[in-house]
Amino acid sequence: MSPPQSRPAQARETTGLSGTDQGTRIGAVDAWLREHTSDDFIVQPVANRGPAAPQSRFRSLQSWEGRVIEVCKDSFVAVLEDLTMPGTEEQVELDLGDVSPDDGPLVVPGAVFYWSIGYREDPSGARSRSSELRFQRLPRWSSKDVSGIADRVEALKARTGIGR
Amino acid sequence: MAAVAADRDSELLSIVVLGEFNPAIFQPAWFANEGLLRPGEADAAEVEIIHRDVAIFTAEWVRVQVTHDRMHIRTERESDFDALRDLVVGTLSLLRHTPTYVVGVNHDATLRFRDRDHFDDFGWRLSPPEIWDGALERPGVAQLQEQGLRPDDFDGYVRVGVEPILDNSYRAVVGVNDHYLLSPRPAADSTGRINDLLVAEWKAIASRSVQIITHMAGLAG
Amino acid sequence: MTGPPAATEVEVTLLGPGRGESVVVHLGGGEWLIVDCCASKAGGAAPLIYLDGIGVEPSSVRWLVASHWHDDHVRGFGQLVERCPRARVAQAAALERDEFLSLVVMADDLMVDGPSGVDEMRRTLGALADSGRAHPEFVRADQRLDLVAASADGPGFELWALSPSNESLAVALTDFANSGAAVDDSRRTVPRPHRNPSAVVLHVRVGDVSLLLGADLETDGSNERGWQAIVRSTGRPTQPAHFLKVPHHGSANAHDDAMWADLLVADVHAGVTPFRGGRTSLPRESDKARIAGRTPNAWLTRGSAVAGSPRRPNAVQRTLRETVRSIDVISVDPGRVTMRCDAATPGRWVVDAPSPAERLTA
Repeated sequence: MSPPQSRPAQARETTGLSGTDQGTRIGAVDAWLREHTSDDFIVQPVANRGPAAPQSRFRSLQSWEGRVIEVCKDSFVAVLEDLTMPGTEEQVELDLGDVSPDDGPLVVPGAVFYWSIGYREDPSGARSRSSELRFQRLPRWSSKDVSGIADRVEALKARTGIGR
Repeated sequence: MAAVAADRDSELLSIVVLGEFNPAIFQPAWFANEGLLRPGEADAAEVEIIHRDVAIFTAEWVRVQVTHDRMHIRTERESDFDALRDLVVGTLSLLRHTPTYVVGVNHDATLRFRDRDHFDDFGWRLSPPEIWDGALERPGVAQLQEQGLRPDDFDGYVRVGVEPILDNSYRAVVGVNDHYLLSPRPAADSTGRINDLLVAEWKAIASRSVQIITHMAGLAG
Repeated sequence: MTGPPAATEVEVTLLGPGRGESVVVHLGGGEWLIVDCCASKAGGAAPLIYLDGIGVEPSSVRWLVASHWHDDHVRGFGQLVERCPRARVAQAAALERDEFLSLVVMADDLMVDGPSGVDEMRRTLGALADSGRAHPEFVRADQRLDLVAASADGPGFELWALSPSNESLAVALTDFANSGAAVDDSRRTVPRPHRNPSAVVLHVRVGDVSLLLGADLETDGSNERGWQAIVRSTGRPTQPAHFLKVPHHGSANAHDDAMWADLLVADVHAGVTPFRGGRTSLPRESDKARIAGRTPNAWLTRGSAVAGSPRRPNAVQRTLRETVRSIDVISVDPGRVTMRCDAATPGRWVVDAPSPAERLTA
């Protein structure tokens, strides 16, 4: 794929959505920042130093989606759906100590989590074998959600004829 | 068995939603308070700017950029692709009255070709150099976009882009843009439909982009 | 047994992979009943795969019964409803109440894409509504669901629900209400009650042969609930059963001496399905011994409910060894136990129980 002339590599973000808007670029934000006073900011920005530091990367060798079925004193049992080789379901017992403390309250029967084993690459390029487990985070039920349930039950009954 | 001509070097997933947003609320603390980010991640987030016109911050695994007309959330960690979907779905469910109209799921993979020959061969398969005879000297693909119809009943398209990384590393980015148009202009009822789509179609979206990227990687022969 | 049973034959086939179970019954005259559903290793509805294997069309299914709503007993039930166009559906009376329908509606909001009992129930209701079929029959104790007289077409049959009792229904509704109210404020899940108070136990009579399908009904010491309520009932069929689907995977808390003494013939033929969930494996060795002590004619559909994990890259295998306490494959094909006998000669069962099924011995 010989280029007609060499060009420095540049980071790019793909959005590819609108025919007119090419996406949000760091350069455009820099220009915007120069035009606005600091009084406008809700949170004072970090010193304008260009693009944010790259995130660490994770190269997955094996992934599962898990669902907790039992929580024990220091472990939990889950059913795993193999996302790498679909069609296999496994049951696993894992240590609660392997769960991020922030995720601790999320470990309840029925909870969903994502588990991957692979290689983690830090921005410096260092690579290490890693097991990453993250519990699914969904918003709380809102009072509106809860109050809407009765109406939806009535709609379900009307649709199915139950109780009619 | 022939060696693979190109390996996947790195991957990136982003979800972009077009609509009418209030960037000022997209603060790490808000996400943590709503249970959508781990508190520790929110506390450690690197905030570039939070303003009524633009919000940009990076937490451990995710980068959030929001302007008035666009919400762009991305991760470069394969293990967090599903969590990215949850973050978008969770955010939109809390902002269910925000008018939206388009959602795009972008899966970019950087392919690293085995050597210069395979790298060049890939570009020549996409755009045979002979078609440029008489027009360009030493033509090479700088950027290519191809668009196809959606394979389902949604409005929109599937677009594939290829762009070489010009640093002599024999790498190219293949990006799949799965674009859904829910309504012609921002509408509050599109937001719930975007969420339904992201939940119901997620496996199809994921397998489609993987299939396309794998197909593209195989072109290097 | 490679083909379907004769019109005058009773057949009961028990399918059990280790998660869930399904009972497939020939009611005579080419009519079939399916109770509960479980998945094959490939994910399809196991009872339909079985029927297809013996040349029986889904249109021959007359009844689909969901004995209770737990995930493992109704996995694929919605698919059964969609594929069996003639079948009437029955489930416990508790499931028509708002307390349960609220869980169904909440499940719609969960933003998760995975199997759940409530989702299957939602799919079932949707499939019935979309195809213009009647909503499920909501059954309770001592209710006859169906009666077909003997004719040239077949020996005739009767289908009764023996549970849930009124008291069990009240407990079930409390459980459902507590599940709905206990929504954790940091995530959206539908908690799974541990008890099975609303399980539907069926008594099936085909000709002169009777079957007792015990679902997951447990016993808790109350005369108004569980097996005691059934034993004491004066409104149920009195013919003792020649076949028992052992309740709740043979667990001790589903055993009732009076049930064995009063509802079953001596040396009844029995089938048990295994269960592997969490740290619980049923039937335990003590359960097997207890059942084998009651009858010499008991079979377990699968001796082992798990298989070894697949081969994965070395880096993954090493990490698994370092990380997990245990990991086993549970998506296995169901084991099968099939029993047939002529509807006029009860007790003369011909048993087909291919490996991995095994006979329980004292």
